[in-house]
Amino acid sequence: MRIVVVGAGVVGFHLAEKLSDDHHKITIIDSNSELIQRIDERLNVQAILGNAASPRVLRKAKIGAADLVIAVTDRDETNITVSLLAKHLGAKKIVVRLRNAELSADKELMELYGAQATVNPVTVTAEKIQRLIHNPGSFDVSSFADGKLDLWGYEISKGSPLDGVILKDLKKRFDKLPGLIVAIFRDGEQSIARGDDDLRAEDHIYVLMPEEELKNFRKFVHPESERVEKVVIAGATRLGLEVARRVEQNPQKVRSLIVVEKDRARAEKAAEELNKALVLHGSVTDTSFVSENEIADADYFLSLESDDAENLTNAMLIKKQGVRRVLVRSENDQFLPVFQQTNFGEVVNPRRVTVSDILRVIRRGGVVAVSQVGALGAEAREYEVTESQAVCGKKISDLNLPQDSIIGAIRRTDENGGVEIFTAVGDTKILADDHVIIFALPAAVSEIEKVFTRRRGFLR
Amino acid sequence: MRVRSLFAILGLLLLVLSGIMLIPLGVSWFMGSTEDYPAFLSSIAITFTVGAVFWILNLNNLKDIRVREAFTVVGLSRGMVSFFGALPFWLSPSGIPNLLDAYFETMSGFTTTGATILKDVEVLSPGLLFWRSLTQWLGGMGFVLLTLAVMPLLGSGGVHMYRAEIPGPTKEKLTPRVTQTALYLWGLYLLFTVLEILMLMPAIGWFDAITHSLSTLSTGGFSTKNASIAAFDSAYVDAVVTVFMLLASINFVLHYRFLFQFQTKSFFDGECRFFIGVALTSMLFITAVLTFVTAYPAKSQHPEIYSGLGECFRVASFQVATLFSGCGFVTADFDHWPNICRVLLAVLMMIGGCAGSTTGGVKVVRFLTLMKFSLREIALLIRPQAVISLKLNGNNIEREVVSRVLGFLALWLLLFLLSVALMSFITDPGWSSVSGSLDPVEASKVSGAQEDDHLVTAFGATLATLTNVGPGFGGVGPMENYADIPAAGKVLLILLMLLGRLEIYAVLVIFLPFTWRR
Repeated sequence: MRIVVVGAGVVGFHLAEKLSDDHHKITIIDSNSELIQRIDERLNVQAILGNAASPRVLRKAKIGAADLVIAVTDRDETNITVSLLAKHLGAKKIVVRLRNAELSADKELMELYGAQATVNPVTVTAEKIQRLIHNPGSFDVSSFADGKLDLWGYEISKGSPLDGVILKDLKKRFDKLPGLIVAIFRDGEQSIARGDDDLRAEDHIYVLMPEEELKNFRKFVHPESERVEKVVIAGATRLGLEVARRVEQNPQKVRSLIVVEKDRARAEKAAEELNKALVLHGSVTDTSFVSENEIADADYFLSLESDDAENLTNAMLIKKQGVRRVLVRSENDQFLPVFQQTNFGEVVNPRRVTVSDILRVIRRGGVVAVSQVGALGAEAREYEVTESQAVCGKKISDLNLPQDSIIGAIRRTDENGGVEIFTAVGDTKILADDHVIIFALPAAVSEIEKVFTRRRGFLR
Repeated sequence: MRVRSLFAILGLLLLVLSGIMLIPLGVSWFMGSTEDYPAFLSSIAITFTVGAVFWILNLNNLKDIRVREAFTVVGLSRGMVSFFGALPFWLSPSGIPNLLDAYFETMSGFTTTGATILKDVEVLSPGLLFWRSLTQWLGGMGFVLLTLAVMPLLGSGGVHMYRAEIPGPTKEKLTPRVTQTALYLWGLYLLFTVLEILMLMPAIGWFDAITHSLSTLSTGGFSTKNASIAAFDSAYVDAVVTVFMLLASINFVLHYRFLFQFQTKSFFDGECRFFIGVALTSMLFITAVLTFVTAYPAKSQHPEIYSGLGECFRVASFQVATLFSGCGFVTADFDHWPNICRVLLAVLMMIGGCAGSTTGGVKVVRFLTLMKFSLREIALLIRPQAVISLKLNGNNIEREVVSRVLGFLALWLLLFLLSVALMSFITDPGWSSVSGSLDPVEASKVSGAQEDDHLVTAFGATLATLTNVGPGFGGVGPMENYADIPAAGKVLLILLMLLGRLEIYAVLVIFLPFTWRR
């Protein structure tokens, strides 16, 4: 496929990287010469320097012959202009990133400027955070198979019946336990869940299960009715406001929602936009402010400022004050080593969430979704299998998958269009149009990539 | 100040007024009361001549209207229109012989107050009674606004006048063009009036139906009967009038949106909800108190006794509606109700109806803003770092609007307190007997009030005129009238009616030298 990516920021870069690995022909456009140079050096793509909102530059990128245009510059206006021009010049399919929810949610508008899909990083990230807030014990979630299947990260609580159970006995002892446990993280070590492993309290486990089963699962992993009653959000950023708005609207009562913002004007804007939240003007790095406003009582603390370093500082300070659950937003990977310390808290990277969302929207052969799992580099991926791929028609046991990976589930569409999601076993044969959801530890990621992108050879 | 353009508009308004005066003349002719002909004909002639002179001399300056001219016109015109409107009362043999009294009565009409100096209303001829109610109807939606609607001659000056005349802290236009907005508002006003006339007609006949509808929708309160609505002694009439008084207290822009644009949800906005909520609560509360008083008559000092719960609710709901809306019809002597009810009613009078309606008082939206502001102050004491925005209908109330509202309330209160002081001085029995004017002591004795009640009277009269309600407490209570107030007091009350109706500022600008400087 010929793909033109407009905007070489973090999202653009990651997209270009992922898609180029899938053997697509990528052209990337940006007006920043440094970014273009960096991409030119590192990726096997065509990089063009210039203003993307100009038809001349777009023609140079042969946008008319593109099968897909992805507009991910920083500005909504530019992305819309690119979409309009690309449609006019003959691009087949267009995906745009829009931060303004009024623009991104309107299907008619989307048709008007010619896009087939919009991705709103604020909305998708806020949705993810919202699910974490409302599910005590969970620390990570990502969706696969069109949102029908979720990969949840859960902490096994102290009173959980799962404590001390060997995995292969799990189905015998708890026949109502849904889902498939794919990985166990313990003491900074991560391993794929195998039959002989046991579960212990305070383990972080990853489990794949259909969306509607979550309720049943929660009883087992987190039986005590811990309630999230007080939520504190630092940073009235666009994301911070969106999360606050969602918490306000959710019928599950969060009794006290506090938004802390250090800029007076932004705090006032937040107070205008939110209805129930208490907006405070101040900074969580100020200890007297924290104690006076009882911020350390929070059940959940979210640092959603736009600056990674600030989020890190906030989270560390608040954690020291005794808040158990902390979530930070981090756009770049510079602080990964810090987050890799165990039990630091949850990290949400809006850029990665966006990349994953855009990949899901594209969905044509190869990788459909990628989710960073934890901070240690593990990934969950969803691949769509086509006739031309080497894995097509093979049994799973014949695939020679690396040790550190596991096929979690397969989503299969039958002739009548019915969709079935099931847990894969060794005998399962992979068919064309299947979606395969794989969980891989860092060591296995590149190997998996190879297995699933290998073409069917002549010598097979 | 462009005095010539000022006179041009005033002339225009007088021409319109002289045209409108043909209506009561027609009523006189229809009812066969020939003795009114000379009064009406000469009034029309005088008004028309003066108007025509003003108009023709300054014709070319009509479009030169800026904000200050607009404000001055709105303030001056009510005073002037009331003067020319008073002529029929003064000139008619069955009317009001004292010019000040006639002026008071007409001002009370055009400001939709409903305070009367007539001890016996029923002696007035039908034409005058009709004119009396019509002045209220004209004043309700604003005479200037009517002129804007029917004579769109003013260009952009109309926008300023619209702003000066419509009550409330923020002014919303229905349509981009002010003349069209004025037309829609007046059309809606007329529609409601016709509706009420049709509902009242079967019960009380066309003449009373029309006159009472005119003073209901304008929340004026002039009646053709001495006993006001109580004269009809009909629960049906009470109910119809109650509903229309409440309707007239709600923002007409909301009515328009509800009826013609089907915006049902936005009808019950924060202000409207608060108004309806307070009205219903007060009705139930007073019903409960009256029921209690009725059940244990021996324990209470209050002579007003009603038979049963239904009767209590009927009088309570009517009195709440009439005082909250600033209408001023009466069906019961609320001045002799238990004190808790009197105080509650006084508070309702102060608050008044919604912005953009025909009511008086400080308006619900201002009161709401004040409450929200005070709550925020309290919250900020406890949490100094909190940032709290004042919201109405989910929208932020802008800082300037808040300070404007607070400024208005402070000024209103100051004006009120000063006027009570001045009024109690004027009506002081000792002082009055020295000055040799009408003796309120004598008057109080006649009305059965206590001698030291003059402070209550001063309070009641000031409140009832500044809020454009009409009936007050004490010597000007629901069963009394303003006839025995000394002349100086009447002048003060006339001014208060004007200040209340135009929300102070439009009147005060007239007295500021700053306004008249070139």
